[in-house]
Amino acid sequence: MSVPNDSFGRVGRWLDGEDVRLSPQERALADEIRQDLGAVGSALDAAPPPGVLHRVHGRLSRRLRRRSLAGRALAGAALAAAAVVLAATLWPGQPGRSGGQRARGALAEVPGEWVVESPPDALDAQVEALSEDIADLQVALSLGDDWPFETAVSAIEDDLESVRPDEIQPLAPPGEPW
Amino acid sequence: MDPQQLRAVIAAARAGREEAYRCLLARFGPRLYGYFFRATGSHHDAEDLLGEMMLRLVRSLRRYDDRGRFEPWLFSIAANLVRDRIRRARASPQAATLDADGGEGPSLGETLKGAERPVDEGLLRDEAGRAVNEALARLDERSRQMILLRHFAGMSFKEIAEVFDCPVGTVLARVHRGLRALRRMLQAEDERSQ
Repeated sequence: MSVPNDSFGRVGRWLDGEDVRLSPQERALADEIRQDLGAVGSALDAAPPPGVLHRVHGRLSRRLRRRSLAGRALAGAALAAAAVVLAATLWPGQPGRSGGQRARGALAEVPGEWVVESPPDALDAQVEALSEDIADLQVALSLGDDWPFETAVSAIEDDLESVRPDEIQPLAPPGEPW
Repeated sequence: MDPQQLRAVIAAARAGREEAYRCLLARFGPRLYGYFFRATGSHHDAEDLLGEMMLRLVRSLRRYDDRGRFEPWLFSIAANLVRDRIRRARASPQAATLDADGGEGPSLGETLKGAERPVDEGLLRDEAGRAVNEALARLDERSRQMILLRHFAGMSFKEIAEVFDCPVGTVLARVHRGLRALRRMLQAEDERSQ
């Protein structure tokens, strides 16, 4: 069936439900496309094999749990930072210095690592979640499953980035270099 | 799921509720899987992409505009994932399982027929399913994507035109040619198998 090129746009808009007046040739084209969409469409459907949605959900669930833990760790760190700033502001200083000077002086003595330290519980939970992922991958490898490694590896890489080395290292005694 | 329920589920997912994501996966997972499977011809890639899609959803759901239709938005992310995967496959064909055609390059079907995909051979037992994948693989990339988005996402031709940044007429012409070619290939396959 041959129709002018600009007819395709009109037929497309008509098939989308717009009110377009079509010529008989355009109407025939629209009917042909509709029929083909129906006939080919039924052949295109493909259900996921058993277990796929379950596995995808498992990975999603672990990711959400880690996001929540990371959020809590961040909130904990922010709280700790706020507490340090507050303590430094209220700390009794030398006579004759203003509140701001006292605060700056006190803050200068607080190592940065104290301010950004994350709560150990949250960090433990993150490490535990990562260990679970690695254990899952080990099982999948040993079973020789057709495992989607790309997603799994990129997820673990993301998680490793979220566990920062400065959170893992123990705190240095104040005043001593790392 | 009616639009109101969907809005509630999306709001819960944005709040980080796991059951909301489970609900979205149950509702759209099978269709997304079908789209990925037909777009790549591989169960392995389809599962991998579905996993990636859900993780992408967690990051990007807050950017979803509630006034728009959810499915076209969802499948436009899926189409981007497929496009990125194909680009990566072209950039490093040795490492990837996917080798989709871009008009001049080797077709996805050539790869499907080859012996270098032993993992999927066991899964593609369904001859009819295999014939569909091979027929799809003979189409050019854009036509294949347009047909798949129309079928799996229920996108209008206008929405597909927005995804591919081209006029509606171009989408319809490509879909028309692609569907006609697919119909002929599937009919020929039917006759051969009888």
